Amino acid sequence: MHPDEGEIRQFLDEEHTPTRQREIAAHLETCDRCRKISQAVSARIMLAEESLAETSFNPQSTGSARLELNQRLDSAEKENKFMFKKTFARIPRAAWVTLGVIGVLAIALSFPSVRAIATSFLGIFRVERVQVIPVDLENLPQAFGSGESFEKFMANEVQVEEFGEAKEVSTREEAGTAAGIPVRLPGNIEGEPRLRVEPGGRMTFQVNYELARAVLDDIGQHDIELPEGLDGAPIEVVIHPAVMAMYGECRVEEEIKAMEGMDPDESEAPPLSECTTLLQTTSPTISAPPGLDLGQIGEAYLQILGMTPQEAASFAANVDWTTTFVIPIPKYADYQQVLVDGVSGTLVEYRERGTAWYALLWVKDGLLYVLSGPGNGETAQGIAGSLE
Amino acid sequence: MQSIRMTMTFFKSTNQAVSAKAEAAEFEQLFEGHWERLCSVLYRITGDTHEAQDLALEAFVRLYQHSPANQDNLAGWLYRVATNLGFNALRAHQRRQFYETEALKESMLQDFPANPEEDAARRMENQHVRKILRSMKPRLARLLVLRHSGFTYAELAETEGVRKNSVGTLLARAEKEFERLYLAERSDQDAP
Repeated sequence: MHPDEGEIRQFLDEEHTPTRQREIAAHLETCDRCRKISQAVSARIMLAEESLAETSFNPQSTGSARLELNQRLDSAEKENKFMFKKTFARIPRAAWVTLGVIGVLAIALSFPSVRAIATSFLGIFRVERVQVIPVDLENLPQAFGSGESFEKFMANEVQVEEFGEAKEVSTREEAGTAAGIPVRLPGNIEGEPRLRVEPGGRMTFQVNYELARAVLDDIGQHDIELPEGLDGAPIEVVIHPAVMAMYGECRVEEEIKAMEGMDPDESEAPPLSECTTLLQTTSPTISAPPGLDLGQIGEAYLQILGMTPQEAASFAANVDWTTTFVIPIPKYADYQQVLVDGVSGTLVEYRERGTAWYALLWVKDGLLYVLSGPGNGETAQGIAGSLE
Repeated sequence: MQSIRMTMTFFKSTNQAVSAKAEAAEFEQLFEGHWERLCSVLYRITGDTHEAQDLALEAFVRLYQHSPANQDNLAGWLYRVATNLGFNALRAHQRRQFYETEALKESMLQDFPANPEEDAARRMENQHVRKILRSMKPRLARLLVLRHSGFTYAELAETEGVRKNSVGTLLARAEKEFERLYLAERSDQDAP
């Protein structure tokens, strides 16, 4: 069996086990082809060695460098105190921009109001399945809110076009015609729902590598790697019209508005109304250049959410990023895969101010459904099972 | 484990807890143990002594301000951050390349080195190597620089978060890529 180039490279550095070193040495004695490869590998090592050879360079002593480091740390600390005040006032707008454009992070920021998920997370890929990861989200809003680069990125690079205005309609047929989808409604909830058609929209941007890098630096993620070819890559996200059916005492619009202007000083979100909502829409789509490594973007995204590079790589390896929507949820929420509407879905359950709430997400026949409201998993399953 | 930031804050206070002392010592140990090597790695990337030291200090500042959640491999984190800073600096230089070339010509005229031809050739070669590193995939460029700065396979595996047995394959790939770009650069130079 011929050793490959990597094994030969390792052999030349004597980094194999003694047994494997002997085996490869013996093989090279008899195999012309491998010997030639070995010579080529050696020549490349020499070329790199000579090219990267360090010419006389003695850095300043550790002691004097340590003093300089102390000075930098002191001035950085003073600057931080000043920046803290400055950025605090900016957080609401930055947080809302995040909410509107990066749907995934939006969920993280707005989770206590689960119904807002339905209107804000429809921004990534063509969703065929949903997967959740529990993460510690406490510091995310502050991290993004304090980034000047992030605001610059959003202001300069992203164009958003809305396809019209949201409107209320009277019948399911009217909603279906307006949204271009067959509308299903629960059969086990009494009373007529309020039906609202969300218009959808298109978001386009060309990635500016350096600005994206600066955003990551701003949030302290200096060692995340972004994929080759990301610079200048045109990305288009299309969010299709959606129908929201609301049952009970619903103040969804007010809640969304309240979130838009939410003051970070008031950490508590407005109380949720006793309302059950079902949102349905064609899966959103994202188009990007074929060569772009979505897996690596996914890894970067997972690291932003707090995973180590190793955890992110391991998780990302098992996800098809072109079809899977990975939702971060706070660690205090429970989640599980469940059978719903004949397909696999994700049930998230949590408690807020003593009340149990659920969100149930699934994709069937190219349509994405998000059901949420007060109650537990059984309530959710009962409503989902009665759709007609 | 407390973050490095907390560690340093404790370090500065007069009543240091025993654990804080231990953590501050860890930061000091990292600085003592890696300062020169980090500079050397960054010098190989940037080819500029001042910039190498400046970026090495910046990497330590970032370790202080935003130490990673997982503190098991702080040295690996430090080198990843530092090399990213180095390659970012190289990319920033790309935009200024025209001015650099002009400055290079100017300095060659002014410096009057003992062996002007040899010196000019060395400087040009230096620029070509930076250009090649800039064009390589960041991970491969980093591996190449770290290996040729004396990192062992075990250290490379730790920094990159890969198995030790994968290092040879990655290095072979990196050196092949370096050679390809080097030859392309040479043929561009030789073209009339």
